[in-house]
Amino acid sequence: MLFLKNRRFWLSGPATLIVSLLIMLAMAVWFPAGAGNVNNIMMPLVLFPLIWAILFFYTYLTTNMRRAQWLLAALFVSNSLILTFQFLG
Amino acid sequence: MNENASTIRSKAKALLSLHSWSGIILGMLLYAVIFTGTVAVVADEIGEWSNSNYHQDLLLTTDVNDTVNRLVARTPKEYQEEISAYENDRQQLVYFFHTHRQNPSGVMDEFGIQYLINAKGEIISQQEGFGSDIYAQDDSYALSRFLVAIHTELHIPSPWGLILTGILGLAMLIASVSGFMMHRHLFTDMFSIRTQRNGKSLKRDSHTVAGTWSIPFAILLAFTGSFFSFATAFGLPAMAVVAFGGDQEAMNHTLVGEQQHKSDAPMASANLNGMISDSALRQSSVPAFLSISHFGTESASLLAFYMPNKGKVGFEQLVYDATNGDFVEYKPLVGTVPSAGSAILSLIYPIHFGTFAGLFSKLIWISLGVAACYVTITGLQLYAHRHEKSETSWRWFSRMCVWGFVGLPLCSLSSALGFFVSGNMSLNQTMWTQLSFVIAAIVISALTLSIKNITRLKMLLLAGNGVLCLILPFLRFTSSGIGWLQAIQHNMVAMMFIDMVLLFCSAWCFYSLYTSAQFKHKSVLVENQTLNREEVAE
Amino acid sequence: MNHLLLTLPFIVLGTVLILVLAMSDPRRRQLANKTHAENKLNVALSSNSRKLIGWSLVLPLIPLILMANYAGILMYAGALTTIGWLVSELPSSLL
Repeated sequence: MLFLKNRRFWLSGPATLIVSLLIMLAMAVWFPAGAGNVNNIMMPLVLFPLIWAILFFYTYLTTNMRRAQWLLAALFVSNSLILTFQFLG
Repeated sequence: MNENASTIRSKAKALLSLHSWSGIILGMLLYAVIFTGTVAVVADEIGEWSNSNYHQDLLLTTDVNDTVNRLVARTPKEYQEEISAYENDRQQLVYFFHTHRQNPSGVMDEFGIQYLINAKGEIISQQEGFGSDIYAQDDSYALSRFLVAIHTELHIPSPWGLILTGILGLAMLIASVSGFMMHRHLFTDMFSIRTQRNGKSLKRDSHTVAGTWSIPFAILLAFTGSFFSFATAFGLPAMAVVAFGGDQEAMNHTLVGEQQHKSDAPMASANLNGMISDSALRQSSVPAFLSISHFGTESASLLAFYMPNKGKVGFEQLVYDATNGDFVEYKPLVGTVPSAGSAILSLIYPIHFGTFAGLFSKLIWISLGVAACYVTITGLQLYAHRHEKSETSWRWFSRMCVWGFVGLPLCSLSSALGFFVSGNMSLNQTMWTQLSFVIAAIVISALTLSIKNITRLKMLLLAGNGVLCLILPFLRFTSSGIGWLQAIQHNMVAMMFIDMVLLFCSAWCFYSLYTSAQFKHKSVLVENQTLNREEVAE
Repeated sequence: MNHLLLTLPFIVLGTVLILVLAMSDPRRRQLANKTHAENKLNVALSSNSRKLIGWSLVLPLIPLILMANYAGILMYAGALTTIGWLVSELPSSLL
């Protein structure tokens, strides 16, 4: 169970997953719906695997873990804010 | 400079460990999904083959208008909200009069009465229930449905099976991207496979060559596959929560692109046959299915769904105003007007399924699937080869490889065997298709655990595959009485195609049995020769 | 069926180009020289002309796009993938 102590495991594993899920959900709010009124639903769903893969490879390969950490944190906060406003306001 | 080199090296190392671990942990499941995915490309053909059927274009040749009007008279009003119609694999038209309702597992589903109508327009049977239940018990699709469900959800209850296959898609994405990133001589190595001293090709080279060639499609298929899994498992419901305040029905309406204001005022509908033949003329093809909404009211409409045709890759949906029979529009896949989301979705389907140009494209997609299977197989064998030095020990990993790689096709073939045998004995084909898969899996597992010599085990399973591939076309013939002469007469391409593929696979199994027997013989000879030479030298 | 038949010549062309590329592959020749004494299937080409051939595999996309044969593009790409793999794999595992 050595990998549980590894910071990169937490960063590339659960953190990346949660952040990319949040991005997908928040995208439904801010993505322009377009004339067909469906882009804000279809695009996040299509882009989810892509967003996850980009974040995963970035956090897994970066040498600057601190920056990756802050990036994920920033994405987490901004997207949760969007979602909070969507549900409360 | 030095530091730079060491980071590159550590990155390469990190990529290699990512590549191996994503492959080793999920490799066997990934193989199951890729193999059955390859089979699923020809799911329609397997459906036709398993019923020795050929498409009769009943939607065009029978009087759909008359049938619908007759059925409307005997169907409760609430089920007339929507009527779907398609031809099944037993030369019948399936009419499903339904409304939309939540099924016991909480998912929006179709609920109504399904009628089976033969070519003469007679009602063969009728059944009331949820659409998903009726489909799940339909014996004519037992085989293709069973095999496709392995691919989509590994027969694990929803949504967990879908989530697992989604994760497998992501693992495949990781494995192919990391494989691409860590291979530095991509273009210099893509044609050459080194051979070992014993004449066998080097596993590592086979793995990288097949991997290099199939990288673009591996990424595309993994990406689209994980989209399908995640979108259905939790993506769509989650979107409904965020964008529609949890109202799944409202979202479905938006996605399907239904008109907002429906009038239930009765009004006679125009002749459906006219609309169907008009759509067939426009597409110069036969509709895959029809969907008639609000028949006999002011807002009646007919949607004819067509497979891609004339060089296009997306499905076509032609909408008619059923009150007067006028053509309204080519409807996008989602939404009411063309959009980026709809365009992307209509690309994702053909790219993942390979069903955009009939057998021609399916053949290519099957080969892509075989290549991807080969990459998975050689990858895991490579791991086994590197980590199990001793030839005499139990060799767990190699054993598992043989069990999975040769065993899964054998199990799938057994399920087809079960389908035909139970059909001949008029038993429940749906149940026996599944049961024979399980029985085969148990037998194969027992063999895997009891036969000590892995090569013998592999040859035995391979022989099993070869024999079953050889038997199945004959079994199909005996169960339906339809041979190749008749098939040629009626242009039964799908059925002959599957028959030929099976015979080809059978030949390949026996050929590889033959070569490995030869190889064994030769290596014994070589060993003896070297021994002799050593003796002479002494 | 028409657009499918129109795709076939391009796939055949792609196959020929890949075969030429494979036969002129320097690394493949290097390995072949090591194992077999004689090898008849060999074409000597400069690395520039090989590059040119490689790029010309993209050329069929132009007429296919002009013909709006998008199904053909997908099939061409898929066929190249599998043909390239088979050309490299089959000789070593079968012969």
